[in-house]
Amino acid sequence: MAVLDAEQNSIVLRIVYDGPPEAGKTTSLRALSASLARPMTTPAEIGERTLFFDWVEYTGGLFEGHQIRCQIVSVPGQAVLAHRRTSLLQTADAVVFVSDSSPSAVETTRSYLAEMRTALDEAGGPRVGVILQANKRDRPDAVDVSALQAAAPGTAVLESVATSGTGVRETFVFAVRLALDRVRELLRTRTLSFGAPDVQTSDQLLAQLQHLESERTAIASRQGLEDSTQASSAFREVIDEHHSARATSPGAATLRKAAESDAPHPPTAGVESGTIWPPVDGRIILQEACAQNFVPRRLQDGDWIGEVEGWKFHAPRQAIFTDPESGRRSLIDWARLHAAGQRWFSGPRVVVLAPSGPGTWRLWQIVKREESLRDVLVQAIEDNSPEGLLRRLLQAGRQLLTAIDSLAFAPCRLAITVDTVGVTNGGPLYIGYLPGPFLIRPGNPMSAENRTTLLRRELGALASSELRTHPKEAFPPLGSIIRRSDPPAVVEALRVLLRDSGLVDDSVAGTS
Amino acid sequence: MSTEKELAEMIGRIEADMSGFIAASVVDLESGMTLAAKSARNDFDLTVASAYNSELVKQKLKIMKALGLKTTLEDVLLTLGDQIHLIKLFPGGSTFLYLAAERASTNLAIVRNSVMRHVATLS
Repeated sequence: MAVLDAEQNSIVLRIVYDGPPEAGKTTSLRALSASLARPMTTPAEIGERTLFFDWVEYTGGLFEGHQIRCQIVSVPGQAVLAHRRTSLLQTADAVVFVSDSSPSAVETTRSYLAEMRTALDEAGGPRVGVILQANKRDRPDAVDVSALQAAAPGTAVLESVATSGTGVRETFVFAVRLALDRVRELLRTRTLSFGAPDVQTSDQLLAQLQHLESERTAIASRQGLEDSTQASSAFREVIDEHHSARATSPGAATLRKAAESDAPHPPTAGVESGTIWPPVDGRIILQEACAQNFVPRRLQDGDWIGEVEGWKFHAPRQAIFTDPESGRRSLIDWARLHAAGQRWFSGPRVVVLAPSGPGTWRLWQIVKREESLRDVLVQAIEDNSPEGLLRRLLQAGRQLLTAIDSLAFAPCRLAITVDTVGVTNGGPLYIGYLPGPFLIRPGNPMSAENRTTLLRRELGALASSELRTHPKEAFPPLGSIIRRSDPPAVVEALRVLLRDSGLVDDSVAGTS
Repeated sequence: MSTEKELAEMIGRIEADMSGFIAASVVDLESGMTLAAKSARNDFDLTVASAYNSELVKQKLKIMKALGLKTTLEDVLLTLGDQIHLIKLFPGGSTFLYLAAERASTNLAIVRNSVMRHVATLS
């Protein structure tokens, strides 16, 4: 990374703060930022969990008459973001490895150190100096420094309490010394780069990382690899932790009021990084789903939908933006909702902010197509006798009722119908679209009366015409097929349905 | 190695011990980076001053080497028209204290005495 920028009369170094999650990398940088009186920036941070890096820039000191410009960067510690960690480590001129001093953390430290060394070895070039910053030395159970030294042979060990700033600046200055050693070696071997560095700001570093990831994802997609599912689960995990921040409506000014008459552009896999959730395998799903062309269709309520084999697309009418930043904020809110409701919602799901037309962006949700209760029943109607149809209706009623009760605890209110409920081995799941990010209302249990109404409506919509195609003599008495455990609401809904279909005598609608 | 807090406290004690204090820093000789710094004047760029003074010390050490002097550099005194600058190397020679003071408010003996005394208290 070291670059001699003759025009600015400076040598640009990168000091990378590495280490396991929660060891104190960000806290160290925050303390350093305060000590050096330089701002710290953390792009795409979610709830204090670093997703890309923390960044502090500091100019101080001299090297052979050149000012020393330090890019101080911390890596994301989460194992699933290892690709970002590796990318950053491979640009280091010196590494400050921040470790937790608790006994239980020693093994993790050892493992992360090994990964770090692998990453540095792969980068090649003169040796990158590593300092082990033994952090959290104020812990009552802090292990002896010698134990950490044993875990990191050949590494300088400095103690710190990052929360109070103790030991942080000394460690940093020591790291600069190591980085300058490396620069000397680069000079000696005539491998030092000259000119303006490629990355001079945190924004540029973020763009560089995102570009790298886009390339990696594109390659993975081409090769049919799906090894990035972990990344999405980690992202969900991070988001889950901070689900308390519910979706909020953007300022009215950010919404385009003008009605769109032309169909919006559907999303593509080429959307910018940071505009897709989950960030890694979301793009892979887009690549698959968007390989099939479709023209969005406008519903009566103004929402846009589309369908290709295996996938459904939906863009709420309100989710259109004239500036991408507002769209990105809504994307995060919507992603939080998707992540928070994983146990109730079918998957996989993708949320993407895509260019919609000139100067506009639109939020889309992409949902894998799953078999709905309607699909199951249509199959039953085609295949089954009147008795089989009644049994299937009863079963659908039971599943619908279970869904009503279960989805009442979902993070938002959902439209429960035979089209939006699907059945898996684990029970009913919501397979429909989630409400738009500005239409989210909390879920709540349904009253008994509403449950019955819903059951009648949905079962009736499904089968009333089919029931009429059979003579009433073909149906067995309802009482002969219901079970003791069948919920009364379902039995009652079915009985009403039969009555409304003209199958009213006791031979069918009765319970005996 | 003393911590930033200990070094900052030492600078604070020096400041309290004398009048005319402008700024002081503890500097890593190799890199010119400050390990601790305090300035009483906004217009005094201590980061730059510290960096260039590390070059000054390095040059003096080179001179000593060129002359074949088998001794150590203890301190460097610089007298400006209105300021006194003192550079005191710490034991081991990899770190030094740099201090600037108003010449009208203090004198070299007071500055030197204060710096020697407080530097000696560091571990």
